[in-house]
Amino acid sequence: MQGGRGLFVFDDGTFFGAAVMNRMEPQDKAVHDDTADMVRVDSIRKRFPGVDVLKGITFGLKKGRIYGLVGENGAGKSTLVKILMGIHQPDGGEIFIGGEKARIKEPSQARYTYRMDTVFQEHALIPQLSVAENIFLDKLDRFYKKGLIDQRRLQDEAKGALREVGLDIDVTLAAAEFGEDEKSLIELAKALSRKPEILILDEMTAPLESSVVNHVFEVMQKLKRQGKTLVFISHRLEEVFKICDEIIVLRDGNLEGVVRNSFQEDPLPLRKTVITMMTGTERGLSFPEKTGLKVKGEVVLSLENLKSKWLKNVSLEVGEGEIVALAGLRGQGQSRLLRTIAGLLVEDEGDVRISGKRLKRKHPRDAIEKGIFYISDKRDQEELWLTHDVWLNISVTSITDRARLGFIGRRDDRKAVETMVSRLRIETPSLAQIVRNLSGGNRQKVVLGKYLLARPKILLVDQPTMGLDVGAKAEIYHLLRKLSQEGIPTLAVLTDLEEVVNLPDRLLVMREGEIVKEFSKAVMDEVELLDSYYG
Amino acid sequence: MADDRLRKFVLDWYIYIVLVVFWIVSSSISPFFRTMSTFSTIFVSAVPIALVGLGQTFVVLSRGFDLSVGVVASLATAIASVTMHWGIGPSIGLILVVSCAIGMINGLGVSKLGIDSFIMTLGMMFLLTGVTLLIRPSPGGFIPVNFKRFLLYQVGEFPLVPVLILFLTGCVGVLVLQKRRFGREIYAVGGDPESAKMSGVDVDRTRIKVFMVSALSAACAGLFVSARIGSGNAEAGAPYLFDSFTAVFMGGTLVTGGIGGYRGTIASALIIASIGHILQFLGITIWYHFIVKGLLLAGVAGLQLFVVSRERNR
Repeated sequence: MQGGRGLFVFDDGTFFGAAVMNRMEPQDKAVHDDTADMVRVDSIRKRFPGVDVLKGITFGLKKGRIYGLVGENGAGKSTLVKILMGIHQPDGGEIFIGGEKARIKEPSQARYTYRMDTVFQEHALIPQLSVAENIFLDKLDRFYKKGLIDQRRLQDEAKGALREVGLDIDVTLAAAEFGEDEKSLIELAKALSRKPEILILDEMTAPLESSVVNHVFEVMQKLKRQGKTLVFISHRLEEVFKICDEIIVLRDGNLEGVVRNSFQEDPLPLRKTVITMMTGTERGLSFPEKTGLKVKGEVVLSLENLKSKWLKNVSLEVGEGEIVALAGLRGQGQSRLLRTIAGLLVEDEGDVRISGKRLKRKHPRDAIEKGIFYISDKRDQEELWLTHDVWLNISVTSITDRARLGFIGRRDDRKAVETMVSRLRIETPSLAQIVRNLSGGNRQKVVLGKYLLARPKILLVDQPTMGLDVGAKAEIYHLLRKLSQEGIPTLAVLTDLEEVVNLPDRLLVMREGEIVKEFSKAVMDEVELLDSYYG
Repeated sequence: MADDRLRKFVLDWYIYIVLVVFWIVSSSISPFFRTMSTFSTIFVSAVPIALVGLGQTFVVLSRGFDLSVGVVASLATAIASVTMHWGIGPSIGLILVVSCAIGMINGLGVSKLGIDSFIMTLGMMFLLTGVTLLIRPSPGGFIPVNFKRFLLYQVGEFPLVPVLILFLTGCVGVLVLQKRRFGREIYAVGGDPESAKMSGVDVDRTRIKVFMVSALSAACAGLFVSARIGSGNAEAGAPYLFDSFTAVFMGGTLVTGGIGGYRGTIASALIIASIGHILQFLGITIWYHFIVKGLLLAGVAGLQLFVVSRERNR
């Protein structure tokens, strides 16, 4: 096992015998029997400037099974998928497909020579092209009739492909017209239309609602019955445990082990095993104590009968020591409410008060000046200058506070930023580090640091832990809690059920632009909560 | 429903509406404008704009710029003026081969070396300006009469061949962009290069082809210009650089790539060609020509943004 840590195979938490371990041994690769691996990854290594992303990974995938691939951000999952798809080339090691050594140079080769396809979470569809064109983008010449694309046949076949995933939409519309749910299914249909033997779903369920996720699972089960090999990558472990036969765990570029799923009623032991393997410790998602329940403090933000195109009569209050969450199904106006408070959207009627004073917002600047900071869920696009360094990213919002006679005091500025970096424990080699090279968790801390330096009164955070791994999530939770104890409350949009139940002191459920229910208990009843989501 | 269809029609064809309105207003202001000979000149002067606009539309749709189109056109007139005495065929062949090579170099630099298209083609512009001046330091040279006659062939006052060229260029441009794999891949690359790559589009190849089309169409524009002026001139292509961008942007193709098309470019080429004439007939000095062009470009682009944002908010 090159560079690998010890290889352990667990069966629901217990050490599993040598029989399974053997399958992983390199000398075994010549064996071709019924249970031979459809895909074998052998000691794959990949190095990017400054980091070893994959340090020698070996495992095998069989036909007719669904594999989970889990690991914290930076564990090497995406790189591994990109190597399998021929987007990156490995620095060492080999890939075998159907027993044959495979050299995958580009995605089309992976797709058409090796029948392996991937549904990516992002960078999937071209917004301007029609759904039909998107599905068959790399083989549009197949539809030529007298040298021109036969739109009717293209559309018919696209409709057929979408039927496979149970989607019935107008395929002539541009992909941009559709929501995340539909886009993911279109992407799945696109991959299925190429009839893959091996299908990798890379975080495809991340933006989906549970009913759509179940739908995707049905499609996966069908493919499994047809003898296809599936790899399912997800940060939501519940989903992994629900669908995957075996779970491959990566940590820091090493294969940590493969766990069998025996689909027990109680997934907790399995969960514990997998999280321990992923993080190297037993810490799972740990939530801070809900201190805001006892100390609400003075009211910082209050809304009175806020009305707009998307909001119906929203009134709420947030006190100094609180974390308040907006929950509900996706797209019920939660994000728009935050954006409205921040002055990015306009209300038709109603008042926004900050510490009791009425606040008019003609421009986002007006809200910022009063200490209302909105943190977008599109962190990389709307919050950060990815190609600039940590210093600039943290300093920029409050930079004029550290100016004398209009000139920025470099030393003061540096000191302020340094204090923030150590206070939030941002892991960066130096202030000159380019933000693009930071992990998701550290990026989010940079965003928080930027606003904390500008002395906020309240934070409006849209999905604060979007796309972060377990460890980073916990850090963000504790940070938000610490801030609330220091008198900076948070009003957050949360979607993950575990977060919704455990993080906030109070919970406001929104439905169709309206707050329909409030929960404020230390322990929330999940059934009652989910019930309130639906009308 | 009928309302929606009307709205869509206006959105799709507004630049043609602008063109027709422009012609009607001009004709009613000046009696000289509403003559066949005026329209004949407009069509003839629109041909090179539409040709450079063809390549530029492809390039802009793929999220790039080609600043070398003007000088490629000049180079074509220069090469034509010194080689046409070998015969028309070999001369045209040489020009097409040279322009293909120029386009390929631009494309390779942009795709394989990752040089920004603005910089790459700016460099190419300077380089070729020098080369063109070496070939033809002062205007002149020989362009055969047959060649001129053919390209400018008129039936009565109707410029048959120029109108045919416009029509054919239009058909080819629109069909390739809308109904060929190459065209759709240009939209994909311009819309989101990363997604296009993931979806199996050969992004580099598409980019190289796009710059080759651009250089080729610029060379064709140069050939037409050489027929019009009857000589080679190292400066002749220069105005077409800006006209190509004006035509592309006024025609509704967005600078960010992936949205737009060639249909609008052609109408804009006709508008640009018309502006000069109406001002001339009104006895206004040429300097106002630029002012009007600038205002029109800003106005049309602004109108378009306004309409698009209204549509999005619906």
